[in-house]
Amino acid sequence: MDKDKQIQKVSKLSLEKLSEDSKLVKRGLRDLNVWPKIENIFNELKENYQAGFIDECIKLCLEILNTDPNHFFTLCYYGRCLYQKGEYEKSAEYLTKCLDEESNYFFLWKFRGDCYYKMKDYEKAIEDYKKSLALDPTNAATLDDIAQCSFLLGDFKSAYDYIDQAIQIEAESDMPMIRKAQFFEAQQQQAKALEQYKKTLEVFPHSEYARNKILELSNL
Amino acid sequence: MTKIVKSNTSLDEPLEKRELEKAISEREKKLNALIDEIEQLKIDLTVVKQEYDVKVGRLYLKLDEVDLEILKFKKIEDLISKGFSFEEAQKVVEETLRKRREQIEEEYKKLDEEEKDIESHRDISEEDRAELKKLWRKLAHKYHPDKANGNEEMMKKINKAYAEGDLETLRAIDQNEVSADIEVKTIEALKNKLAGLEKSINKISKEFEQLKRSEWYILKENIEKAKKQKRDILSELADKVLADIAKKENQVSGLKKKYGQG
Repeated sequence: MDKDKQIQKVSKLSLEKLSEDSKLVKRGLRDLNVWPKIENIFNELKENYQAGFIDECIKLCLEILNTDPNHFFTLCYYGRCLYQKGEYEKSAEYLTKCLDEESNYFFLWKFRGDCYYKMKDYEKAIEDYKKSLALDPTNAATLDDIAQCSFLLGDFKSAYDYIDQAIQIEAESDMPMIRKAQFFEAQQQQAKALEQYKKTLEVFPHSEYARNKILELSNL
Repeated sequence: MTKIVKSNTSLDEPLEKRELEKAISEREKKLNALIDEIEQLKIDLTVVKQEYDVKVGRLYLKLDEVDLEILKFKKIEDLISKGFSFEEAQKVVEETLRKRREQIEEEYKKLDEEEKDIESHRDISEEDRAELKKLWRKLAHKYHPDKANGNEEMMKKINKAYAEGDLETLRAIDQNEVSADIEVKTIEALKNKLAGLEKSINKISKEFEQLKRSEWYILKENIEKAKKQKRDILSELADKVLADIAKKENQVSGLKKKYGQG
C-alpha cells in the first residue's frame, strides 16, 4: 500500500463528485473525533426509538447507513421505523436484508411478518410468525398474530388453537382473551363472545375494554 | 394645480445610465471575485479529497475486507454448529457475502479511477498548467452559468477540458470566442442586467455556504488546524487504521489456522 504517494495538485472541479463520495471521509472524520462516532449516534437512535420519535430515528439511521451501509442493528431499526411510517414494502425489503444476514433473531421474523400482515399477505405473514415462534416459543404476541392471520384466512380451527395457546401463556395482558371474544363476535356468536368478555374481566378486573363490551353486548 | 413630475428627460437619462453602469460594473467585479473564490475552494477541496483517498480511503477499504473475512468465519462457525460441514458452510457464506464484496470492489474501482486521473496529470508541465489555469479563469468569467451571458454547456466543456488538462480545447474555445457584447443599453436593459447580477451573486453565495458545510471542507479545516500544531492528522489517521488492519489480520490468520486454511 503506497500511502505516501505523491499528490498532484490538480482539480476535478466537481462539487457533485465531492458530495457523492462522502462515505469514506465521514469514516475518517468520525475516527478523528470531528464527527460523532457511530456508537454514539446508535445510542441516540435507541433512545429516540424508545421515546417514539420515529422521524428523528429515520434521520439517525440514514446518518449511520451513510457511513456504514451494513450496520446490522441500524438496518433492523430502520426497517422497523419504516413500518411505523406505513412504508410496509420498503420495510419488508430492509428486514429481508437483515434476515439474509442473521436468521436467528425472532423479532426480525416477527417484524417482517407484521409488514406482510399490513400488506394483507396473510400466508406469508404466518410463515414468518411461525419462524419467529420457533425461535421464541413462549411469545404470546406472536401466537396472537398467527391466530389473527389464520382467522382472516378462514382457518378458524387454527385461529382458536393458537389463541388458546396465547391465553395459556399470557399472564399480564388481557389481549389474547379479548381477541378470542372478538373472533366469536366476528362469527356472530354474541353469547359466546359475551361469556368470553366476562371471563376476561374475571381474570383482568381492570380491563376497561372487556367491561365496555359486556355492557354493549348485554344491551343487545 | 398640476404637480410637476420629474420625468425621464434627455438630461436625466445619461446620469441614471452612468449610475446603473457603475453599479453593474461593481457587481460584475464582485461576482467575478466570488466565482474565483468558489472555484479555488473547489480545487482545494478536490486536493484534500485526493490526498485523503490515497492516504486513508484505501486503508478503510482494506479494513472492510479484513472485517468481511472475520465475518465470514463467524458465519461459518455458526453454520458448523448447526451441522453443516466446513465446505458446505463456506459455500453458503460466500454466496451471502457476495454483495458486500462487490460493494468493496466498487469502492476500490472508484479510487483506482481517481488515481488514474491523478497520474494522467503528471505529464503536464508547470508552464502548461499555468496557462491552463489562466485560460480557464478567463473563460469561466465569461461562460459561468451565473453570468448574464453564461452558458452551462460551454462551462461544462471548459471544466472538463481543465480537469483533463486539455489545453488545446481551451485554446480553441478562447480563439473562437465571438464578441457578443453589442448591447442596446436602455435604462430597462441595464436595470435587468443589474437585477440578474444580484440574483447570481446570491445564488453563488449560497453555493459557497453549502460547500463550507461539506465534509471535505470540515476535513480541510481540521487538517489546517492540526498543521499549525505541527501535526499531520491524515498520517495519524492512516497509522491508526493500519494498526486496526494489522490487529484484525492477526485474528484472521488465527481463524484460518483453526480451519486448516493457513
